[in-house]
Amino acid sequence: MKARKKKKTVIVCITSGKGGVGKTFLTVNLASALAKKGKKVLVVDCDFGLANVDIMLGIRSARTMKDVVFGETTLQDVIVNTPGGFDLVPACSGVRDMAQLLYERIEMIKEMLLSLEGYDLILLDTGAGMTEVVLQFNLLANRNILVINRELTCLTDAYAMIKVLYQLFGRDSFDIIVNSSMDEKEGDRIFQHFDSICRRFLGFSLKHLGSLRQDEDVPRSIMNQEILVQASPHSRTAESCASMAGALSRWRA
Amino acid sequence: MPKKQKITGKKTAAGKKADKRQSLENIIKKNKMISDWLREGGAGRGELLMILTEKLPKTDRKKLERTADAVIELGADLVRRIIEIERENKQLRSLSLTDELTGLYNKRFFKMQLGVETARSKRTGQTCCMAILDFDNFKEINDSLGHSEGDRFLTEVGLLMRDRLRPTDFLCRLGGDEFGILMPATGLVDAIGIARRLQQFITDIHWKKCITTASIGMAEFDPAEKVSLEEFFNLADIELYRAKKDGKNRISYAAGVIERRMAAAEPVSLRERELLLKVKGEAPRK
Repeated sequence: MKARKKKKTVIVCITSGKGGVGKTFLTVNLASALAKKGKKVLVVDCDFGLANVDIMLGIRSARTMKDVVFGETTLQDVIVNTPGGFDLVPACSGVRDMAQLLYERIEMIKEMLLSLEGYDLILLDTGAGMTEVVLQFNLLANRNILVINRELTCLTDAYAMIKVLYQLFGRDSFDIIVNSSMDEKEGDRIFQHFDSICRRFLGFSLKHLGSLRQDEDVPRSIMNQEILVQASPHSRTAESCASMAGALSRWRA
Repeated sequence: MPKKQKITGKKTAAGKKADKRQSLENIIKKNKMISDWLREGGAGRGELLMILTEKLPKTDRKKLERTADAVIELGADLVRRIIEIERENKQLRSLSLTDELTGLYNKRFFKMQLGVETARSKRTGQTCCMAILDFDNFKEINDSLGHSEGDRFLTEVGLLMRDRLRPTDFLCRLGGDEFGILMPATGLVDAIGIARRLQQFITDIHWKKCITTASIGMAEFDPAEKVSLEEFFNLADIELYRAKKDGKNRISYAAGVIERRMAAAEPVSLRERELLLKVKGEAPRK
């Protein structure tokens, strides 16, 4: 069968509120799992404070998002291939005053992202915190994934993020990934609890995309700069990632 | 019980008198010579008779005299009213909402519509935006090509700018070479896009070899922020000033709107926090 001429790219923003919850690990592994399913995926590292994706993949790139925001470079010129089978727009670390400029150019970046041809999905990996940049990228996306774990600080930050996006910008559709749960049941319970609070105070329910159980393979793969779904595709975590990627691959813009 | 008045359709005496007065007034109003004569003091019955004879040639002398007397009787009162009407007209002109030169809306309208749109914002919760645009080197056009050419520039460019806005936007001439743009139900990011388009359009104009640019100051009205109308207008004005100071041909606006909005957002309440905490207690033992 002939491929459709115009594929609509789905932009997905992966965020958490609190740092260190596993956004970047999830982004990289979801992207790789999607690539395995034959999807064309672009990951945009939107963490301008502390870029992570390139480090996680052991990539060193000459040009980064910084050149797009500050210079005349287009996104196309910055994109690099990764061993994970997906493409990457690396971020720049430690650039201050990015927020101000980004704000002015976010429309342009959005247009650039939308005009990129041939991608099925674009995953935006945002930084921690509820900064303007993070919110802008969240608003830009078609779908918002929030990564949470059982820690109270993480739940509160994620909830605050949802509340702000809902109250100020009217977003009321979020997909939740519960990370580092003890087991399947705990993942469900954390989600249901979180969901019940959202329903009670904000009036809408959340979607449970999946849970990742605590797994020693995860820190090991990060240490080795490996992508888990590639290095050990039959591990529990890799299989969870693959099933979540399956759900993502069915999303439409 | 009062006697019921029969409605016959026939005119009463008072009615007839009013009719007569009306027709006289019409004669006077329609006839510039008579109204001029009255205005000049209405001296000399003969003069009035002559005017009337000219205007109503078929009427007999006696009727003309009666008309003249009636006109004189009405005259004093009427002159006062004519003068009053003229004064009102003058006032109405000054109350007008369009700019005489360009035919666009004027500053009065802009301020008025600003009130309407901010009220709408408060009701709907949607933000609206305004921009003040000022040409950077309009003086050069005026100086080198003359004032009439400057006026022509403002008129034509003004109308072309209006064509480049959305149908819901308002473009007003605030005075001189300063224009105001009101964008209802628009966020700052979109408004900046619109301003950028205008700015580009202006840069592309070559008016008799004069190249011109524009500086634009922008402001967003957020109903959650409780900013007064004056403050809203001043915000844009301050930004225009900044755009000029920073080297002209640029768009300036107060950044960090999202951050300001975030500060205004309701934080996570204690009750919500408490409930979020509960899940921890249910964690299974290892």
